[in-house]
Amino acid sequence: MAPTWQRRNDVLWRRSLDSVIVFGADGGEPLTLAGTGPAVWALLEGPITLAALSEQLAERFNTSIETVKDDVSSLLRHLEEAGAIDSHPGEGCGELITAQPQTGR
Amino acid sequence: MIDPPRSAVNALSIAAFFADGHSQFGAVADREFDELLGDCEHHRLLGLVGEAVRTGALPVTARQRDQVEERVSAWLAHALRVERSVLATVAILDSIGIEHRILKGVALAHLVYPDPSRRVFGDADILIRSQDFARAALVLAERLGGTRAWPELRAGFDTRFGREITIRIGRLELDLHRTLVDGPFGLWIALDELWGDPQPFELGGRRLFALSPEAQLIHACYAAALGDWPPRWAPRRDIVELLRAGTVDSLRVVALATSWRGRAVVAYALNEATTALGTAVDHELAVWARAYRASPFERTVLRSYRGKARGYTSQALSVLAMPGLRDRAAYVRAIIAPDAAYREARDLPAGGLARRAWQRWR
Repeated sequence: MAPTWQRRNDVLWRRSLDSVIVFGADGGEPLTLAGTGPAVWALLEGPITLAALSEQLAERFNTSIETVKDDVSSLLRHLEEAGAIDSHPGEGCGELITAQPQTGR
Repeated sequence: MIDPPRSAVNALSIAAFFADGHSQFGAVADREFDELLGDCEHHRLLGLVGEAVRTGALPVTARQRDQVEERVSAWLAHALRVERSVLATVAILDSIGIEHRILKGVALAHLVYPDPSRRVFGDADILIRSQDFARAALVLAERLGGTRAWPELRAGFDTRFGREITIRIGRLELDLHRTLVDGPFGLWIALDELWGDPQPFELGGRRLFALSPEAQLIHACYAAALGDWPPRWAPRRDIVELLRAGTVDSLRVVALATSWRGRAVVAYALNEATTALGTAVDHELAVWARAYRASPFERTVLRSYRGKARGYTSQALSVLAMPGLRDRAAYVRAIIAPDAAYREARDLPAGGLARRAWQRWR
């Protein structure tokens, strides 16, 4: 039943050198995603659960899922508040429902 | 393995980056690098600098990389603010039934550049029909909390002869265009022909419309040849990207340029862009441009857009582009005797723009 997260289709964004600049539809100022942020942004191209996101990031950055999960959760909340992403309720299959995003890797 | 040849780095080589095959630049010392960044910022090429660094084509030190990241990010964040303002503007125009087309950087970044991050821009440019021009400016300034940068030269001037109305909204500028350039070349444009065959693109989940690819190319040529002085490199790169996009019908470009009496401008800009950037030189339009011979009259009008008094000399020649005596009289009256609000805002002497032009000319 875990919700999935995805970029909103009205979000504006650009890729800089090592960061991604994101400007959500809910006003405020553009956000700069640095560090692992661009990887998170790439994974949010398609719907994905927090667990799947954390798992893929942990594998990519060679660390534990628990280490990244809190940071990712906080980032998702931040992006949602900025109107850059939104979440959709899970459809009853828990983590198995996650789609495979196109990461460009 | 043989290393690829490394070319010198300057704003011109950055403007040509990736335009024709792969470039590999040599390393640059910090002092020269600071100058390079300054030049590229002036020429609106920082997006290409970012791409050159990201792909490893431009080798940089850690300090230089940080500098590029900071400046490129700042320009990209600004581009997003501009795009958000475009979306807000379009929503308002739609709500009051005013048709519009997105011009220049915002449209080109999404339509002809392989990645919009490669094209940075400073403001939003939107085309409005003459009959809607004044009303659009009024409503947008009010609803977006902006103000007109300058009062109207004289009542009715904008709708009849004006090129653009600039609205300042905080740190952002929104340029509403009635035509593409000042002076005779702007007045010779058959404005209805600007609206045909618009090219759609998506921005922030919305479908927006730019000019037709052919009108986009002519506009880029006008920006390159008649815009900033000295010219910036970004419009010339735009020309090359438009030629490479493969969406332009060459015959239609020549037909439109002929209809707008702008063939000399288009030929000049195409020559400058393809020759300087060393790309698309075999495109049929580039071949046409090299063969084109401007008449003495065309060369005179082109020259009026150059030099420190260019703003005034090109405006003065506008009289030539007006068909009727009544239009010419109204235009001259506005130039010589602008409304008091305009004179005050521009700090103009008695005698208006004509006197200021004379002072600059001397």
